[in-house]
Amino acid sequence: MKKHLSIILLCLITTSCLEILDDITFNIDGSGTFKYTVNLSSSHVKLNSILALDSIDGKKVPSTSEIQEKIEGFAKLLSSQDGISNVYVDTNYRQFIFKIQCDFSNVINLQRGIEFALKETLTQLENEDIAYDWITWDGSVMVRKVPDLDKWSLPSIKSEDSELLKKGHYTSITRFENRVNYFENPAAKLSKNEKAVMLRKSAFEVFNDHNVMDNIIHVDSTTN
Amino acid sequence: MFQSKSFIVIFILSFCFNGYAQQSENIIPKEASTVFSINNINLLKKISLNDLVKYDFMEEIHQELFDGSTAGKTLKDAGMDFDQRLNVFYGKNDQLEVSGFSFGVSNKLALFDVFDDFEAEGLISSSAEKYSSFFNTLIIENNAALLIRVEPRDQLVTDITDSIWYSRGNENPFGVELEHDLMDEPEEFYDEDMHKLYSGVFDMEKNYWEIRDSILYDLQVKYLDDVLSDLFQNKNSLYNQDSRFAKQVSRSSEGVFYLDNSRNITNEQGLWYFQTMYPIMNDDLKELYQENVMLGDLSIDSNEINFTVNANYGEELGSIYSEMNNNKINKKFLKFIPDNSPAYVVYNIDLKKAYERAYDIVLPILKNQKNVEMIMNILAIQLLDQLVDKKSFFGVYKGGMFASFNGVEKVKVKQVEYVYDEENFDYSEIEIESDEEIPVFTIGFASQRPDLFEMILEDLSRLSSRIQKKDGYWIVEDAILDATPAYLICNKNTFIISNNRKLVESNLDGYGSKSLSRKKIKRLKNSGVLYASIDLDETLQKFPIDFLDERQKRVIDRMKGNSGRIELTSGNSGMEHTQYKMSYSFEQGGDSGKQFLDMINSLYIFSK
Repeated sequence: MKKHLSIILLCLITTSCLEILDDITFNIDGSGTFKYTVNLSSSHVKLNSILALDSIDGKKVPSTSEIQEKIEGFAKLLSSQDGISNVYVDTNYRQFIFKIQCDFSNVINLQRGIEFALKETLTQLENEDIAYDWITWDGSVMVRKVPDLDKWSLPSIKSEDSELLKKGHYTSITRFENRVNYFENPAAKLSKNEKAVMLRKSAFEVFNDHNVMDNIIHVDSTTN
Repeated sequence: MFQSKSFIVIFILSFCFNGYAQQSENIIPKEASTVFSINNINLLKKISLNDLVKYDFMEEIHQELFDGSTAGKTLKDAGMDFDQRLNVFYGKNDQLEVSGFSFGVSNKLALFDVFDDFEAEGLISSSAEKYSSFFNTLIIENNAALLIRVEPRDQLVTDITDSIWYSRGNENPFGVELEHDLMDEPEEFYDEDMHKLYSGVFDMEKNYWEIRDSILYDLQVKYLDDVLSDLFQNKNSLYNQDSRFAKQVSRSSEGVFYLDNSRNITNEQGLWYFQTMYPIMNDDLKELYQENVMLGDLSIDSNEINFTVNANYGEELGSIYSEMNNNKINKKFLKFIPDNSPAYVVYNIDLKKAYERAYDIVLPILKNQKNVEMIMNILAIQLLDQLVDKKSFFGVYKGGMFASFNGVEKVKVKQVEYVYDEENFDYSEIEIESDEEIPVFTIGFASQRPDLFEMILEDLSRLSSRIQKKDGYWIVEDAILDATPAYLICNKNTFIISNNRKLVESNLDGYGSKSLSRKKIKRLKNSGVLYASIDLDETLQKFPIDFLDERQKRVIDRMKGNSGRIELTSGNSGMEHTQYKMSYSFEQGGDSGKQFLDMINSLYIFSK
């Protein structure tokens, strides 16, 4: 079963056009809701052709039920972590859209919880130190990053897939109860209600340089 | 690196044994069951070793031989004798796998200058010098050299390891530590969790993998020694042991091919249960396959490579093949293959005749068995033979089929995108259409019972709304990769499955004037049971290689730069052999040496 994970990752990474959406909503007390969506619907024909195979690149191709088992295992592990609640998983194998959502009591709980669940689920990460603060929040300043996948033992992207990845997107949305004063990444956008910041880059850019998604957001902590 | 001491030894030896002209084909071990022998290796003179090593058949010789000292060098630079054959071989028995190649040597110093990792190890017979490098062994006897690797069979090593491991009172090495359900597939632990077996409770004595490594090494040394002494001391080579190979290799064509199917079948480990449970019957069936050897010739014209293979077999199998294969081409198929198909294949066997002949031959073999289970099986077979209406049964699928690849077609597929509300960046999903290229295939089967297919589809359509009856055909929505429909046509003599929209929209009775041209039909009719035609330009570019395994993908990738047409034909099946012929025509001016190697590489991959 564990061997299947590398093929799942391979499918995700080599899929021609993927869209990742991460969406965090913060409450004033530092708690919040995290939503993560991987949309592979534009590649569902290719994914179906891969799933029809016994193996690819010498590795067994998992069935959809095996993939589902892994995703549910990840969700179960995540929900067992301190400060994590209401874990919800939605999988759509017709369009290949995968969503996971959870509530957290603070960002430390969220990050450690995800790290634990990932390490337990992905054998490749078992002996690796993936502890990484990709989000910090002190009530007025939020620092957001994307984990550096280069440091993880995951399949690398073939050069022929790079061009296709340029068509994919990584979108990060951060929402607050208070208004945002300003943010430091010039590529980010502020919503009209001034309470949400969106940063959208091509998947190719993010896979090659995770720093393009870095942002520091300054939030007004004096008003409700 | 090559040491000066070894250099002197080689130098002296090269003068000691230069009188007798050993030929490279004489030093192929008898364990080889597949051999490609290239006669005209002048063709390969200009091929660089860097290019040569990229071929799959060279992979067996292991690429650690090819390093800085081989960079930029050609076979000519490596001191090879171009008047001798270059033989690539592979084989296995129930204990070992053997691979390598043999070739002539004209300049031993040049050879060791290019392959400079070998160390001299002395003589293994009065005339054979042994050199070793990492996992490879090189033997030079007079003017011929053998580069060989011998590996014990993986299953054998595992069996011996298990035996030692459990006899020492150990528990299942995969079960305790990994909480492994014994019913799961064990291979998933071999890569990723191997490190777990090197730690913890297994540290007190040799752990499972250390025992396995020791056994592997020991068997490697033993089997290599056995193979080499048998070959160079007892002179038991394939050439001496199999007169069919000796005869084939004496032919003057540019290349010859030898594949002993009887040994491949015998050594197939997937049959271990059958071989273990029914040893007498296994021996009887072995006899049935005893003469089963494929002998082929490769010849090159200015812009064409021809590969002729005789599939040889014994008289009993021959009588089954004759009944099964000697049928006229099914004309009903031809109208459903458009003339512009980049690739198509037509296959026409008669299963009913083959069944009846096989029943007469195989049943007496089975009847020799006294085993209760086998007797019950034989009884069931005989009752079925008497009670089942064979005419109706074989009327459903007579045995003939055709398949055509019709290029790719752009189809609309749905995908999900997100739209964002600028007010708060809330988002919602919308479905949009995009274009996707889908390969278009048609497959047809000879059948006299369209009513049965109609009956099945009728019932299935009541279960799923995706199956619908249309005027003259059935449609199964999203059947192909969950994206495009499949069309099923139940004609009087042919059952067709296709995803070609044009076929059902306007060609339900065939393509008429747009079907295969008379010229193509004439070529097809001249063939026997099998005919295939592939336009490399179009097919290789458009064929969906995602469906192939990695080795087959490499063949396609390698062939992609080539153009031309491959045609496969077969003759009638006689009592002793069936002849197949594959011709590969390419554009004038192409590099025939490279095309030749491409062809050999493809054949090697598909025959291994």
